[in-house]
Amino acid sequence: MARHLLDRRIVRLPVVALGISLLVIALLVGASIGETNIPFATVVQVLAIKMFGADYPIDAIDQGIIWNYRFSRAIVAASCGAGLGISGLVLQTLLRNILADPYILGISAGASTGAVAIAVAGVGGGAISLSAGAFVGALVAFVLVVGLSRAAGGFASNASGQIILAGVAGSQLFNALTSFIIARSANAEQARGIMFWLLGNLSGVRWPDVWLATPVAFVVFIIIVFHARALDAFAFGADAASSLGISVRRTQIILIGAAALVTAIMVSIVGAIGFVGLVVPHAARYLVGPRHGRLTPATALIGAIFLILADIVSRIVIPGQVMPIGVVTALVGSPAFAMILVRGSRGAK
Amino acid sequence: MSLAANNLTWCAGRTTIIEDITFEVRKGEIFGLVGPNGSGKSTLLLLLAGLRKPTRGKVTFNGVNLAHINRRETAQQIALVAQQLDTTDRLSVRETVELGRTPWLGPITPFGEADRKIVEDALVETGVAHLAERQWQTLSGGERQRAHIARALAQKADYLILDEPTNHLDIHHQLAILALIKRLPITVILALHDLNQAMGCDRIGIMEGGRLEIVGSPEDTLTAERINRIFEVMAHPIIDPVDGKTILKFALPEEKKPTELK
Ligand SMILES: Nc1ncnc2c1ncn2[C@@H]1O[C@H](COP(=O)(O)OP(=O)(O)OP(=O)(O)O)[C@@H](O)[C@H]1O
Ligand SMILES: [Mg+2]
Repeated sequence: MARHLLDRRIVRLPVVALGISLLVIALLVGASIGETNIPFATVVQVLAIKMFGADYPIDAIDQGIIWNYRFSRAIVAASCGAGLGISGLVLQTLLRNILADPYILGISAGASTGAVAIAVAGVGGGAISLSAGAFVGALVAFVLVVGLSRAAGGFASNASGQIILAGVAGSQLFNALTSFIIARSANAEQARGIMFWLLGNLSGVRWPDVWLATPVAFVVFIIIVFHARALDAFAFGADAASSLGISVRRTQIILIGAAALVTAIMVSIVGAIGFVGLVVPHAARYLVGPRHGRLTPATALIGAIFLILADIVSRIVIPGQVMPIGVVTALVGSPAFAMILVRGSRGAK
Repeated sequence: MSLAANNLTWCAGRTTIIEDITFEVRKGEIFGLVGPNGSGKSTLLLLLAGLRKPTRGKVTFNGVNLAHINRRETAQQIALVAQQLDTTDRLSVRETVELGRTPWLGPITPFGEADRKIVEDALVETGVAHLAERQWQTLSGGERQRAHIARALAQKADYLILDEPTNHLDIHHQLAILALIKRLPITVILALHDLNQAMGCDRIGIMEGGRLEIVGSPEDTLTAERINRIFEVMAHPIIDPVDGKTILKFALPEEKKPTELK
């Protein structure tokens, strides 16, 4: 009985290889498609030049476009997709809520507010980095949203609706705060730039962003994989996890801290991209089942590939114009959200 | 080796749910907890498993305050099947039972042959082996209950705490689970509603309104007078002609006939 699509042992190893190959191909495609399409072979040659010092006669401008703009951008998109995906996975598991996601719970909005407060309003006087501000904002938002849902009687098993509503309230609040800060402190041009960034945008991404996004996504990934068994133990709720020997509070603090961190870093680089954290874990669960030892890598891979593709779509869907990537993910994500909502309510009793 | 409650009190906000309970569970015995709905059985079991923090007093395990033992070590010694446990994850029965090995596995220890054997045995013992690959959501209530018990058995703990383990089970599986519990060389603490089943425990504790009314052998404690007072039913002892054992038959007292309850 094949319960999950990729359940059988024999197919496991090729699946890992296949996943990684798909990721590599997506990265190459991401570097090759754009305003001017560059042949695949050229992309590979440029990467060989840059990474292994190979020698091919390729135009320096093309080299620059591929290496400095597109490839770095594709890697950031991949890190961001992986990071948001595993962040959503952790939230869904720990909150026992199939609709949990950093965007829906207001964590991304909190991170935006934190980042904007540092960048525009000059909070911290330059001593605090954008990412640190985003991290603080993300944590404040999470604590506020969880606190609100608890105050609204969300202790019991019917908490799932409460926390989503609290997330809506939290998002509204932090988006309003962000707008307020922008209106007060930013000039018109800054404001336009920030608004564009808030919807999710990878156009400004360069190599320094890679050195931030990729290590953070990787470290958070390792932390989550390390806690895979603990996350599995939450299947029947926090009490059951505790009776299986998991120190629930410590696990929650570490993993939600990690989820908030990766969300905050991604928001500070590319803005608030919605629905990745919601949809990707569900797709991964469909493929490999609910055990986190496999679910976490699958989520990271699918998230990475999904966001590279979303970024490509955002660049080519309207010729000569870049659509915010958040618009693309929302166009895919909202129907998926509706589907999960309908299926989830049918599944519950 | 013993698990004991010392002046255990637990409050939810201002309401005292468990009030000043002191007793000890002896190694190897089957200890039954009985009492009306809401008398605090489940809460007491959660406290004994270390899942609730006592408001006052303490639970001790081999003389050590349970609050000072880390969760992992506790879970290696005490397994719990709580009253209501469900999941939306699409886990199979086997995967659920495998969770019982969690306290014995590190983050990167692989799930070994020995673990697999323990899980297999637990599946067989609780009669769910034929359901091993079935998905949780497709199981009946009784099958879920047995899978949970299998999961607790796979935990290989010396103490097994079961909250109404016979709940949802057909009569065959009720008796099978109780027989299994008796067969196992471990200490079992269980909440029960069927007083005749409670008769099969080594000792029982009777709860009422958050207090432990009495602890002792079923014969000594489950008297007609006490059952009448605590459960508000009349109990008539009947001798089973087959084995000569006492069975309790229950009836509502005269003034509370069902017609008047409406
Ligand atoms: N977290 C809580 N907050 C408020 N009241 C609670 C809480 N937990 C339990 N109670 C109350 O404490 C009382 C004892 O509950 P408990 O579940 O321990 O009873 P029980 O003896 O197991 O009942 P049943 O036979 O119905 O399972 C009940 O009145 C219940 O409403
Ligand atoms: Mg109970």
